[in-house]
Amino acid sequence: MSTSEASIRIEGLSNTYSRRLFKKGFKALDGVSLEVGRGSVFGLLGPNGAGKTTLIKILLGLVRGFEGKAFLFDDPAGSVASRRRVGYLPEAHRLPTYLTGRQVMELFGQMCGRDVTFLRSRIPSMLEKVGMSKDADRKMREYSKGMMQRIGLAQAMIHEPELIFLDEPTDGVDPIGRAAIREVVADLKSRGTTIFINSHLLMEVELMCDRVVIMDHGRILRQGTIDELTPRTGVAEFTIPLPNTDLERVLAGVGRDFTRTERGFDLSLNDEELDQCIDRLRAAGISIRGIQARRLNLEQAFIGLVKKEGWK
Amino acid sequence: MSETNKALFKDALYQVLDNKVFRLLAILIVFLVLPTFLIAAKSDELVILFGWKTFDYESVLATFDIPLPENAERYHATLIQNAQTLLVDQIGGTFGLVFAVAATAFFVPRMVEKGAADTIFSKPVSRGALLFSRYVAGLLFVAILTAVLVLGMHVGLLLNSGYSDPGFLWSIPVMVYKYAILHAFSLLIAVWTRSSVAAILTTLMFFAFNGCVHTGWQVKEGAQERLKLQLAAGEPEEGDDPSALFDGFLVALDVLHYTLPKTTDAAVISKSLRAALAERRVEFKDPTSGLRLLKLPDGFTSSPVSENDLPVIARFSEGDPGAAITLKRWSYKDRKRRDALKELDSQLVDMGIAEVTKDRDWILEGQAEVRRWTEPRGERSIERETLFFNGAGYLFSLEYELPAGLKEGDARRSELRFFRHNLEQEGVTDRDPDELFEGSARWGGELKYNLWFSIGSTLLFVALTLALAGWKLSRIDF
Repeated sequence: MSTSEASIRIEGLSNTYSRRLFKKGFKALDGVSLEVGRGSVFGLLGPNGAGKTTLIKILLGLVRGFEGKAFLFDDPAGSVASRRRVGYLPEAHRLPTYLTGRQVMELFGQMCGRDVTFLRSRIPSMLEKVGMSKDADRKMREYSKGMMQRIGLAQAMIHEPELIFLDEPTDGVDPIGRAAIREVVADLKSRGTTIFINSHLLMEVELMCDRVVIMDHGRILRQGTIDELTPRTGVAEFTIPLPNTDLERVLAGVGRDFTRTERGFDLSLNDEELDQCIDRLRAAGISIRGIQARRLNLEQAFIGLVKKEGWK
Repeated sequence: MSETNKALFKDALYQVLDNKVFRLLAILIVFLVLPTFLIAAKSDELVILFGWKTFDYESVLATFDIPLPENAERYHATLIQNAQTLLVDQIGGTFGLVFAVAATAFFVPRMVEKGAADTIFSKPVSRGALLFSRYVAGLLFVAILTAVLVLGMHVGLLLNSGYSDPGFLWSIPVMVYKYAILHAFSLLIAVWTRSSVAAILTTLMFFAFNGCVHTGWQVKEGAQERLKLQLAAGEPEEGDDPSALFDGFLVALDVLHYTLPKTTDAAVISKSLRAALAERRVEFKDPTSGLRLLKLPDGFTSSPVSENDLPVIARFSEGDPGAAITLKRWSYKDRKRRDALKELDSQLVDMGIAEVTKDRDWILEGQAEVRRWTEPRGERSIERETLFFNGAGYLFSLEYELPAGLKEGDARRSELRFFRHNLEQEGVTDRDPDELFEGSARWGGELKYNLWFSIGSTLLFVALTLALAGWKLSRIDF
């Protein structure tokens, strides 16, 4: 990926907290390198203490004193110029309680350099998008956690940033709200905005992200597309007309146990055995409606990977 | 103004307007200002609700068993001024500021709290600008409240009582100035500790410590001045030589005084600005010595004096058989004070006056020698008082003739006595050790009494404190 195509570029990023005279400190990041392409939805996964939030905070200038290189749109990470093009919804954020939802959006938009006319024309549609039109003029202190989260998301988008960091965006949000947030993410992606999501809800990540990085102990364990990170299990899911009482006889020669399912049966086999299985089913006159290779879901892949690395 | 700065200013304003203590103080201020609109303090009576009821001062004071002073109408302006000073400079300047410090101390700790800091510091605004916006929020807090109090009282008194003292308006910037010092310090502690309680307590301790340092320094300066004059007069120094420890303490006091912000000077600055704006009338001026008299006692008029009358340079009287005051001047080369005193003492002996009170009083740059006696004048006796004092190479005498019967403690007697403190001389500083700083503070001249230096060094402290807070904030990892 050329530098101009990357929204985020990180090379050998390391960070140690609380390094004092007689304290060794805690290494939160250890030589992290990655690139995030423009317009992609990028997921950052890892157990607690993996260094995910530290990574985001370094990119936003909230944590300083790191080693290595980090750039947002070729501007040094944390610089005012880079932050102008970025929106951020922090985890467990606290917006100023003396402001209303509308004032938060207006003031934060102005802080990002947008003028009031632009903001006032944009705020109603943003409020509509996050479902906060009715409550926009109430003080933040009167909001529930979910409402705070929605306004937090809106303030991160109000100035039309090119890159948005969402740290646990669906935290405290009800299922309807989560679906709305997914819609917002999809909409942002369609407009070419790069989205960087840090979440514990792996299903959300699986649903929203193009590429994912899995981190632990400050290091990247693996990165790739969802498909790349969720390997095949070796199990094929067959869909056939049911009921069928002749399966035991037909599949006896394949040499592996099969499991009946609601749609047909599952069978562990390699590619050669798959061909044999298809031939036998066809020879027995059983119609094959579908065959699908079963994959691990992201959660299973994540747990497997982190456990494996943790035991090393 | 950039959009970012507009946003920061609006944010500061919203934060102040939403503050509960701010609202409470605003209501309190309305209650303080309201009486100036509802009660008119005329020179002879109090008028309630635009004429609904009137009360003469005598009956009002009688309720509290206080007799009406003679010529009470002369004290009308003084009374209003004192009430304003009490409410604004004293109550507002101490309790009001303590409240303001407590109410605004959480501005920074709340901004750097986990969760809040992430949102705000990720915006494309420098941490220094965000810190400064919190500083401005505090200043707005005090500026709005003080402006409502001072302007409200001013307008109320002007419309209802017909009294106007534009100099009183200086109280607004002076109050903000005083608070600006404390708020900067509070901000520094808040950034360092991230705790509102620590910021409040430390700031109040700093306020008290600062007051002690500057008051202590003023006392020290007064004592040193007194000692200097004592030695100049040939009087022996009392007590043992001070120890090295005590000398060290005095040096430390000097260092602290020059380094720390001068919160206690605010009252003097306010007074000086007020005086600068007030109409400055000079009743008398001697062009040769530069001696000026700013205010005559009420009822006094000056009599014409020519070159032929020298050494008499001015005569004031309140008519026969009232009091009279004569001012005389000699070059110090021609006549020394001790010679003049000896001459007067021997004259009094010749006149057969045995009972002469010898005293000293502070006028201009030193102590005046005072002689007080009673002498017969025809069928009645009069009280006489003569003061000899020096000023810029001249010897002056101030001679009183007071009608007998004015008792000690009588308001008129006090006024006549204190009239001499309305004397000033070009290039001469009032060196009364008890009020050395107040008397010596000027917009120029000697550094330690220079109000520009006081303000400049204080603002430097504020700037350094804010810079330190900004540096600390820039190093925090959120």
